[in-house]
Order: sequence, then C-alpha cells, then structure tokens
Amino acid sequence: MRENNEDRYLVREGRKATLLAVADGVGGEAGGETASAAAIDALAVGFFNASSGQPVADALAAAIRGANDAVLGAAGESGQKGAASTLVAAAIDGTSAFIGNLGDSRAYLLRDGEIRMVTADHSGDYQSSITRFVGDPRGVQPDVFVETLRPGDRLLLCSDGLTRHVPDADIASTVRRKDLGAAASALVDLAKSRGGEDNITVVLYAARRTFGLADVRRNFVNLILALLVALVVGGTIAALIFASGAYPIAR
Amino acid sequence: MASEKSGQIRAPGGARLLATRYRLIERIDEGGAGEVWRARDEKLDRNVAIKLLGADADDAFRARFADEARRAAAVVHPNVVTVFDEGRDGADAFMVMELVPGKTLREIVAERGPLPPHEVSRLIRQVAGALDAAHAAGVIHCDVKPANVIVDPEGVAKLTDFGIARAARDRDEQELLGTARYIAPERVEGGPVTARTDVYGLGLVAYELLTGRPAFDGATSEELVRERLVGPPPSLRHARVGLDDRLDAIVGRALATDPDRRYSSAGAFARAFSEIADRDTDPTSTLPRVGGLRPGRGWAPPRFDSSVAILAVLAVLLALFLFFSSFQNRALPGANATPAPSAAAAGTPNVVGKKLSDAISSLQAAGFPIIEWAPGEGQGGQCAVVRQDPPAGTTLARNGKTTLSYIAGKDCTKKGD
Repeated sequence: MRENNEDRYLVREGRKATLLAVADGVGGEAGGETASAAAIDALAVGFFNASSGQPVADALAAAIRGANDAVLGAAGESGQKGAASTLVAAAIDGTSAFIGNLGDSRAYLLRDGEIRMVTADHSGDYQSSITRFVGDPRGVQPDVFVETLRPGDRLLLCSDGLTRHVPDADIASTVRRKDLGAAASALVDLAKSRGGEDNITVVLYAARRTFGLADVRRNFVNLILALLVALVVGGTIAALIFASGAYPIAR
Repeated sequence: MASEKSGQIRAPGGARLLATRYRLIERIDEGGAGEVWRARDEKLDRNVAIKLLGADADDAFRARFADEARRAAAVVHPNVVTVFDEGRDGADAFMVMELVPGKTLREIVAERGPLPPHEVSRLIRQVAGALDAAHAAGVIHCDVKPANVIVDPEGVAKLTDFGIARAARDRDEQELLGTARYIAPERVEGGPVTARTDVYGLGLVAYELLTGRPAFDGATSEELVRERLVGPPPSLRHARVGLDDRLDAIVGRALATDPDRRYSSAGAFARAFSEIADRDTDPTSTLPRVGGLRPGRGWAPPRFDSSVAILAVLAVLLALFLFFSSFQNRALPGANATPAPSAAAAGTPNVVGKKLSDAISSLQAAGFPIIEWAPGEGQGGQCAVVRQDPPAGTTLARNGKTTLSYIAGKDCTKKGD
C-alpha cells in the first residue's frame, strides 16, 4: 500500500439531491492528494450552493467546472503545479441520476444482475494517462449522463484502482451481495487480492426498493395537474349548460 | 495429422475438416443461428471465419442460410464482411467468410461505455457506406445493430450477418426475425422494408454508441415493441446531457417511426451526423452550455404519465356526456338543433305551408325556440301551417314567441311522416 492516499470520496444528502463522488489525485508528491481533496470540496460547495431553480444536470456540470478552478487555485497556492485529479460524481434526485466524469474514474449501473458502464473514460493511449481531468488550465468539459433508476438498481463509483484489476463480470457478482457495506468492502478486497497497489476507492449506492418521497411529490404534481384538467373541462361544461339553459324553453 | 486431410474426421478433440478444405480451429461464437468458427482454408492457405448450421436446424432456417450467403456475396464493399463460399458437409450447412479480428461494437460499448461523438461519427460513416452499397445492390440488411458490426484493430468497421437480409423487391414475410430491441417499426407492423429500414437501424447504433445503452431498454419483447410504436422516438437528451441539440435532432430523424420522415439513405444520415459530431474533436475545447434536462426542485412540466391521461380522458368523457344530455333534457320535442344566438337577431323564417314538425324545426334552427301551436283554419293538407304570428321576417328577440296555426291532423309534431 502506498502511504499517501490520493483518492477522496464524498457522500452527502442535500435538499437538492444526494451527491456522490470519487476523485483520484494524479501528480507527484503531495500534489495528487491536494488536488483530489480540493476537487471534492469545491464540488460539494458548488453543487449545494447552486440556486434551487437550476436544473440538477446544470448544477452538476457547473460544480465540476468549479472544482477545476479550485484545483488550479490550490495547486498554485501550494506551488504544486501540474497537480490534477480525476472526478466522477453522481447527483441523485428521486429516480433521476445525473452522472458526470473527467478522467478514468468510472460509474457503473447494476441492474437485474447485469453491469453497464455509465461513463466513458477520458484516457489516452498510454496506460494511466488521462485526457480530461480537474486541474486543467484549458478548462474542462465534463460528460453528463442521465439514468432513470429502477427499484433495486445499484450505482457504483470507483477509482481505477478497482477497474484495473477486477473485470466487470466480477464487479457485477460482488455488488449483488445484499449488504451494501459488505459488497463495497468485498470489492476493495477483491482488487487488493488481485494485486491492486494503487488506491482503491468505491462508493456504492442502492436505489430505493419502494416509492420514496420524491416519487410521491412527482405523483402529487400529476394529481394536481389532473384536477386542473378536470376543473377546466368541468368549467366548460358548466358554461355550456348555463348557456343553453339561458334560453327560455317552450312548454 | 496427414491422415486427417483425406476426409471428414472428427477425432475426439481433433480438428474437423469441412468439405475437405476448411479446418475448424476454434469456436468464436455460438448463438441461436449456429456456431461461428475460426478456421483455416487449406486450399488457399488462409484463415477464414466459418458459420456452421447444425443438422438440427429446420428447413426454413437452412433456406435462409443459403439466402444469406447469396445476399452477402452480392455486396462487395470494404466495410462489409466478405463471403467467400457456401456449402454442405454431411448434414451441416456452412458459410465461409472473411475473418475479421477485432471486437463488435457491442463489445466495445460494454468495455468502454459511451463513445465521444467524433468517434461515433467515424464508425457511422463506415457502416453507412456498407449499407448504401448493399442498398445499391438491392439488398436490405434488416438487422443493423452493434453486435453485427466488427471493428478491426485498425479501426475499420465491417458489417456482417445478412442472416435476415432480403432482396429489396421481396415482400416482407411478416416474420419477426431479429431482435425486438433493434427492430424497425415498419417490420413490426408488416409494412414494406426499404433502405429506410436500415437507416433506422443505423440510428439505433448511433444512439447506443453515444449513450452507452440501447435506445429502447424495455425488459420484455412486448415492452420493446410498444416503446417504439407509441410515442416519439427516443431522445439523446434523456441519456446524455451536453451533446449538440442538432445531433439529437439528426438521430431523432433517423429514428422516426414513419419511414418517410427518415433520411432517404444511410449516407445522408451519416453526412448530417458527421457534420455536427466532427466538431467535437478537441476533448478540451470550451464548454458548451449544458442543456437543462430534468430540473430538480425548480418547476418542471410533470411527465404526462398514465394516471393523468386516464383522468383527463374520464373528464373529457364526462364533459361530453353532460354536454349532450343537457340538450336532450332541455330541447324541444323532436328537435336538437343548437339555438344560434346570432341568427336570433335576424328575421324569423317563413314557415307557412310547411308541415308543423318541419316548421318547428326550422324556427328552432334559426334561433327561435319558443313556439306555440294550435290547430286553426285555412287551406292546406293535414298538419300544414296556415299562419305564423308574428309574420315571417319579424326581428324577434330570443325569448320572443312565435305562434303557429295548422290544419289539424295525426301526429303533426312527430318528425319524419
């Protein structure tokens, strides 16, 4: 094991959404550590301070851009030029999950026993080189993907310490474990047992098995809409009846 | 080994020789349609791929297998897997094809997730070239999907599996061959299969490469089919934020349910797609505005789900019921014409000489619903109106009364006599 852990993670529930993230610092000495810590902090601040009217996808993209500025700033302050970090972040709002990434930390969706990679690595032709990252003076362009979560789905965010050593199929079978915490530590153990020496960080999220408050809220809005439709239609009928009744009728 | 060359030998664990020429080396793939082997053509001394159909396949399947070879052989293009030979070996049918080392687009997406637009563009252009060549040769592929495109290590994409392809002039036999996930709407509905059927398939491939998942992700065949027949084509924005809106529109057009609204050729689609997607070559170019998709706490148009739809339909039905019942209860006997307020300002129509029932109808139709009638004296047949008071042409208020006199008769207020 390396002494300094350059990986950082975040799990925070907020009013806007639940925010999960994994950042894997790159760059020698303490630079990577500084970068991943700064990226995670700035991401959380940026995301949860976004105005409540801002769409979650926009807020996430903006927070990732903010993290880029923060990492550049932190690297400048500490004199560690070139410090950078990968970042994968998921903002979960009810059944909608918005997932953004830079670099080679990944998000996977596990559904019905099958695994699907949600993000695309921004990696170069050489092993462990990345083409997009936080701490890029040219600015960043995160990819943001959208998933509609179903009951029983699990979302996995991880650094390349996991995926470099554990094939997707093994990740899928390990994550299937009922206990979320046990599944997460089993993933890390698996990577270690296969020779993983890099930092290995995983964040595992399980979608609700039942309807949550957010769904109720969404359904409530639908109900209100239905009542409005009924009111408008009912009003029209009443008006028509009234109008036709306004004619005195022969007896 | 030398002895094996002389005939069909299937020694335990040994390599089988097909038609005294093709030695099976390694099974690459196995599916409902049989097996695919890496093999050696011992006559021409080269590696080939062989698709093998076992003895248990039914006749229809065999006939299609021979068709497939002929159709694929008709298409010569660098982006089409070339078919060399076709034949029988005992009870087995086989097809000899160019061996393309590499991975299918399906495997690539599983491994790498969504691809950047400029890379998708490069792949789509190649497959479009293959499809345009097939269409020019009169062959519709009918099963364009990521698993049927192989990409070699140099990045050359090759279209394969003309297993359910048909000649452009063939009638669709209404067989739902192929995967429900990738089937075109017109094939579900038994409509004619054209080049635009393959444009749809290519659109699905583009969608899947860009988003890392199939455009339709229903769990059952029924769901998959319903998804594509009902509602608008899938939007990229539901899967990936920040792509150029024009890309969404272009893929949406390729995926139009109505074939006439799609691009007329695969090439036309690929050109439109590339024009936008190729601008994305610099991965660190300035950040485009990220389009808002599903706002969180801010107000968003709620999805119009089934409960709303059902309530709305019920409300409309209720409205219609009340609307019509109100007229039936309140209108005059035998009449259900709507009083026209504007007409009421004009004069009353002349109804003298008409039958009483017709006179009532026409007065009501003209907007004068208040009518009294009594038998009177005058010249005319039974039920004929002999006098109208006030006389025709009087400007009468809506609630003004018209009195009619008529020659007594039987059922004079009944219509239709």
